[in-house]
Amino acid sequence: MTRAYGLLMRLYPRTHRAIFEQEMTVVFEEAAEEHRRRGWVSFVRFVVAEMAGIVTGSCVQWLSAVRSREQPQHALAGADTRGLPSEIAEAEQRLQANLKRMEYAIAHHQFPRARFFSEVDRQERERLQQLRSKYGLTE
Amino acid sequence: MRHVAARSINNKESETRSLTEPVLLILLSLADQPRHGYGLMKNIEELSGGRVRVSTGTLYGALRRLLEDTWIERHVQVDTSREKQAYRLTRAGLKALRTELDRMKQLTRAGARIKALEA
Repeated sequence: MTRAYGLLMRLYPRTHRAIFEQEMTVVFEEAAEEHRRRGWVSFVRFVVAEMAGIVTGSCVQWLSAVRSREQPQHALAGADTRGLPSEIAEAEQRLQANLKRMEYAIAHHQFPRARFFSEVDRQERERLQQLRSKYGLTE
Repeated sequence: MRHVAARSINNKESETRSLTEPVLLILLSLADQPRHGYGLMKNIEELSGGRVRVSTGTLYGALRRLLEDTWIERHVQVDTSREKQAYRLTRAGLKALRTELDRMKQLTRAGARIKALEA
């Protein structure tokens, strides 16, 4: 079931997944365990609600991304990531995309949003560092 | 997830609009103490008397918007892993919650004055 949940999570924009995927999966597993204990009717209801929630939630996130000019593919253009493992290249592109969003938010005096993207930046850098260590890259 | 009827990026404006029920319940739940995702789901169900059950998709959509608006913030707990991130209400979030509760009280008082609504 967690595998199916993980696959559905791919419907979300990358930024959302980068921030919340791990957390959401853990919460899903905990809740699924409890509903399993309550009986199969409760469990089936829970699974259907979760799947519907992900589909709806991902649509909302994409709409929100488009509205606030957070289109990842658009923002990815221009980053030079040639010759890097795909995981690192993607992480660097996400970092660049997030930086653009942060700059946009600051330029438009949207400081709460800028603070949020600053937090995303911290997390993305942390993740990138882990990936670099994984591939034995020093910089 | 949109947490106001016609949400604006402008914080001041969003404070004056009514909140959706899941968002109101999230804020109420966090007003008590910091909670992580699963704790929030359970508490929301409890606060609503079992009427509202939020999915993880709904919950994290709302949490993201609330984080962006700085109505809530991440709360670092020493004994929890990164996957079990806790959240807590900020001053701005508390203010928004109070405003919403005042608005609801005002509506309830208005409703109580209407005789046709008496049982």
